[in-house]
Amino acid sequence: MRATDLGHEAFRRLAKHLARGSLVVALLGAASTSAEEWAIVVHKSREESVTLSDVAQIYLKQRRFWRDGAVIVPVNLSAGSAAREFFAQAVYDSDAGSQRPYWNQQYFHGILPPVSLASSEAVLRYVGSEPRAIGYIPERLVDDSVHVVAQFEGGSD
Amino acid sequence: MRPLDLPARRPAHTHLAKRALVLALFVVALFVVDVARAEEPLLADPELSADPQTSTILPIARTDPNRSIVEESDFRIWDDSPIGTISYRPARGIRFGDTGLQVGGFSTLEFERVEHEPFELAWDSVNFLVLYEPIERFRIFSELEVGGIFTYEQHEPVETNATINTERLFGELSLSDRWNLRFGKFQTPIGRWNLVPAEPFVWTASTPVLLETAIDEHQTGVALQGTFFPTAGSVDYWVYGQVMDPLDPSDTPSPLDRSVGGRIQFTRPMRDWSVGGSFIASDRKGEWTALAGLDAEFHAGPFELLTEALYQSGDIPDRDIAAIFVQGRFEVLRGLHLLTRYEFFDRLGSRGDRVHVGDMGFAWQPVDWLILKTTYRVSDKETDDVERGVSASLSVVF
Repeated sequence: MRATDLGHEAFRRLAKHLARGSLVVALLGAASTSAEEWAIVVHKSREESVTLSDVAQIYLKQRRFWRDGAVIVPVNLSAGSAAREFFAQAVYDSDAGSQRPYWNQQYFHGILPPVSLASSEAVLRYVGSEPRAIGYIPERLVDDSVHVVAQFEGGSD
Repeated sequence: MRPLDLPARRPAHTHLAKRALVLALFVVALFVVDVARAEEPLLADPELSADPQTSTILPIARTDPNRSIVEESDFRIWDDSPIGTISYRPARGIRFGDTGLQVGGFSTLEFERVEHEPFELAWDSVNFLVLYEPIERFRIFSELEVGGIFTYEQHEPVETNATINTERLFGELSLSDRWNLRFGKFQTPIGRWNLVPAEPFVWTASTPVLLETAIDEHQTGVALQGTFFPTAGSVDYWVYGQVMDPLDPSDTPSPLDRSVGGRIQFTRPMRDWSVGGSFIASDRKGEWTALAGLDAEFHAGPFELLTEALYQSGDIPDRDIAAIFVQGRFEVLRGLHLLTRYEFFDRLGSRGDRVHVGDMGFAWQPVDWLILKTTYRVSDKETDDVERGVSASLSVVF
């Protein structure tokens, strides 16, 4: 292997390492807890199918309307929470912080990120009472007030 | 609005010191708010947040959850005001209860040292972003700029030339993801940079030459914009035209009279890559030019690659331009970004200037509301379009 190739390889590894740095932090946190299934939920009255790609677009506010024309209200969990990291990894394949430049740019257009609620229980209660909302909660919390449209694997919140 | 007629110039040094003090206090206040926000517990008891009778969140969510939820991390200015909770968050602005009114903005302090010239320090502007959403599908958005606050050039007295300009002002009706109608003054949708050109939201303290010379930053007229969702990602389109005299036109390049243009952009769902194409035909006093551009953006972990290319030709030889830039960004540590940009710029017409430009530097954004940038520019020759040297800026988003 030539010296330049070795340099490229080292650079590639460094980049990969940095890219996954925050993921490692999140996973270290998760390692102390057990893996858990998470559910992306909508109000029980909403029947339409939603893929993870749709979810990605919804949480970036690129997709803003349900098929029946109602405005979508995406609900996040708190910034910095492990749940938020699990969600970002599952939906965007990146850490939650990597969305920051995107939202700063959207602010220039007067578009604000989804609101955050403080707990999974609050998300469940909110989505269960708001037909336009979408949120994510641990699957163990799912009850008949919401409809599960997608799932992803994470750790305990 | 027209530039304000100022009273006789005030003693500049005194006011410079006062303004610097006010700015410093403002930055410190923002920092205190941000620290307070970071230390504030989200909710002491998760059960509390689940109980609509006692939660501080859910009872507030009345008719429009998008604007009536006050998040726990928001700084509450006035909880029980007649219009609801008035709250503030750095880099997101003040929200005036349930009125649908939100006001934020940004400001930038700029330093520039062009080769062989004295340095210049300027508090360029304070820009207010005003959003009013009286109903769910309609919003009015404006960017008002208080500019020319002060400029200090080495060996020269401080200059103040305050102006107020309407950078953007439009109403937007959203019928669906596919159909959004905009009326007013808005950013010209050419490429990517010009959609978000403000100092705190770009990564270099210098601007690509093609942005400063070839692209009209704003249009005053109507635009139809929308997004389609094929399986592979999303397709955004813009069709627009300047159908009236421009509102608060900028001087460079000389304002256009009428225009018609369009843009289409494809983006993958996770935004890992995106490509776009733009076109605009514009009229200046009966002389037409046509511009076509291609652009792309690529993300992979801490890397971002951005490129824009354009070709412009028409009745005005001085506006015949071919240019391309490629910019790379690498986030080495959380919030610390290394930047490099190469640009080729060619005046195809009478001037015949052809130049290769390189920009390199860093941007440090420790928190959402603060960004510090330094960029060094080199080129293979000096032209009227390219100034070599160091640019730096400190931007606050409020």
